[in-house]
Amino acid sequence: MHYNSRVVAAGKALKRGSLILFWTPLILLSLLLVYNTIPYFSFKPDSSFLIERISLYGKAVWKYSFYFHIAAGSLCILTALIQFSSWILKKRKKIHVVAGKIYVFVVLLIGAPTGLFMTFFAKGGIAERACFMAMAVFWFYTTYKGFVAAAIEKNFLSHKFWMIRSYAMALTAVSFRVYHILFLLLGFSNYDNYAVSLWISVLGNAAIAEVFILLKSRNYLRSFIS
Amino acid sequence: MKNFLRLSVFLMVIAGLYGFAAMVLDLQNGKLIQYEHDSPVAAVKKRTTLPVQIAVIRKGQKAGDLDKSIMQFAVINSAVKPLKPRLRIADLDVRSFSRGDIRFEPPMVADIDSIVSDSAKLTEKPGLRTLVVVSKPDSTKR
Repeated sequence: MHYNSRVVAAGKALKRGSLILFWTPLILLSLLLVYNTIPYFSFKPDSSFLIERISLYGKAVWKYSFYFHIAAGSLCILTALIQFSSWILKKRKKIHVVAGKIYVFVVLLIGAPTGLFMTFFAKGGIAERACFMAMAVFWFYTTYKGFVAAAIEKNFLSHKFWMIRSYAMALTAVSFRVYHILFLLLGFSNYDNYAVSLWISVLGNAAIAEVFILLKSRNYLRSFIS
Repeated sequence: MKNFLRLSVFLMVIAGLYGFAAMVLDLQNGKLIQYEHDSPVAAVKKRTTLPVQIAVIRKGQKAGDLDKSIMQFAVINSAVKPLKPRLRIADLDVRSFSRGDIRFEPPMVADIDSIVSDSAKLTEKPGLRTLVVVSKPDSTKR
């Protein structure tokens, strides 16, 4: 059988192009998210987000949870950006390990617990708060499983799959804002926009993560049990 | 490592229990913020007193003058309704209020958590909500 090298080259180019198309906006939007978080650290309730929640801001526990949560979220987003680099994994494995430990530490001890606390006061109805709660618990669980798989079980395939799920949850902060702007341009009201954007970002990110895992795994269902 | 994992689970459980308890407490006290149709509406029970600052400004008055006109009242039996995009101009006579109790009557409706005009400024004090009422000219003269 004649093996057409042009087909192979085209396939590789397509794969590389897809990666660039996926990661470039993701990296830029993640950096933009972190950049937009910086003004919050003036510790003044002068942003529209905090003004809308001014009565919550008066509660010390909520206020400190908020600041810890956004600090943790920013750190998560930044450290996770380099975790999927195969070059770093092959050539500078220690960077991957250190960044990974930071990510896990921040999520398990700060990001997820503070996020869970704040869900009880989140914007939206019961369904939206339940969605936030489920997201916080799932984010914690997937990060926990990913850490255990690498640090204790040394099952790095399982580690990879669980961390993809964890990162998908972390990225809801980015995707939510993208959908929010999109639906704003489409004329959705503020409240409806918030609810729809939330559901789509959480469920959409989870679905995309599962598609990635399905494509990379030989036995998809086993990615849940190991 | 196991201690680290146990600590993380512990923190999640505590966060969940504490958040739930705080939410239930706020609900019982009528302070839980709920959202309806673009506006945060406090779940207010009847005869609940909410601390609120009222700034009464005249149309065209600048933000710098706002501080001088802020008065503090206790609101009793406030009828808090979702606010349409703009406050209604209320024919408000400040002399009819005294420190202590006031009652909101229709047709004045208010969203106690929203900034309603560019010339208004929210107070920096947490826990207090500012109601900005744009009055007709001269109605604030004593």
